Amino acid sequence: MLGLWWARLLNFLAAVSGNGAGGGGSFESIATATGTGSSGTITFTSIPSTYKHLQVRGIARGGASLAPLYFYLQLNSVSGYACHHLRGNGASVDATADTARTYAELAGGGADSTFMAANIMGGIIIDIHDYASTTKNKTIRCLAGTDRNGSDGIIALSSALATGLGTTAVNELKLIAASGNWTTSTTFALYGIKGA
Amino acid sequence: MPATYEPIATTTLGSAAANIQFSTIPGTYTDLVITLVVNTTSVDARIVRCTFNGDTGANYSATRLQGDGAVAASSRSTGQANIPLTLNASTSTTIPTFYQFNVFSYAGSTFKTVLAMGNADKNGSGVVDRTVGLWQSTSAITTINITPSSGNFNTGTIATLYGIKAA
Repeated sequence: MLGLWWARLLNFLAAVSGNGAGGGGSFESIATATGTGSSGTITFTSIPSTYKHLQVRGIARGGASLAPLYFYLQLNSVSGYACHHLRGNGASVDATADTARTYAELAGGGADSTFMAANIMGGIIIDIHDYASTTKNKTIRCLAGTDRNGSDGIIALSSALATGLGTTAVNELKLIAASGNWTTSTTFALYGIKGA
Repeated sequence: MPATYEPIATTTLGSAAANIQFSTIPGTYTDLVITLVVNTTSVDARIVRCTFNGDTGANYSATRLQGDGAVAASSRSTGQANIPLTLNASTSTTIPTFYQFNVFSYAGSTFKTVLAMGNADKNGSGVVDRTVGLWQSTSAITTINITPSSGNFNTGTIATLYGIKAA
């Protein structure tokens, strides 16, 4: 009887501390990074391999005028990406593809800070499934968009294959403004999603 | 470890309603995610719309990308009284339409950006829709109202509000 009482107490304490059953969750925040206004690169390093998938969520505002809006993603500082995009600009739809790119070019995110009114931010969701696999190539999926209450808004779906990375596990992720610097209102958060 | 992605509130309609509202939303998360499984009370072209903090002024806009099984199109709405989460998604009394919309940095000091997904297939018609919306306000969001453009949400419509907390 006494042994059972101690076991229940230990299980309760483990649940409260988050280190045992009942604590934590499958979707965990790994790190958050904010633009400095003086750099066009935001980097997540030392990404642990303990999750199944990664998700990046962010609001972004970049540099000089560029249309259609896009930004770059780079894994493990390697070059070599193939990309496909489906984009709508409020008036027309286009579908494009690129190969042998230095970075993964992702459409739609990053409001143009010289062309769009202050406080307008692009919204970005990036998914990388099975990022820690050492037997699979890595595919990137992105839904991103910026609306400016007028022309030159964009909503876009992008997919990219990290051809230069091969089957290496992802341990670093860079988000790069297509031009200029990320503003101080730019924030990206990296999340890890656990498998069962 | 506190949960990073957790449900805040769920509404399941036991009778038809013209509006679903989430109120008193705490400012402790980073992003909000709303999932909707929608039936409406009549078959007609329906737009599901959202507003924030009771603001029905011309402070919303959106850019859309949509495919209906025959045509891919993009359109925009400017100076609107709400964000349309999808456009001309003909709804059904029996086949639900699924929406998810993400509200980024809802408690932050910039304008509020929304990424929305609308999905409906009725075995002969349907739509897949991706929308970016803008609410031109720097106020933190404490209330979200979701309405159909006409008619009511039908019994069984489910809406869940989630909060995502960054490190």
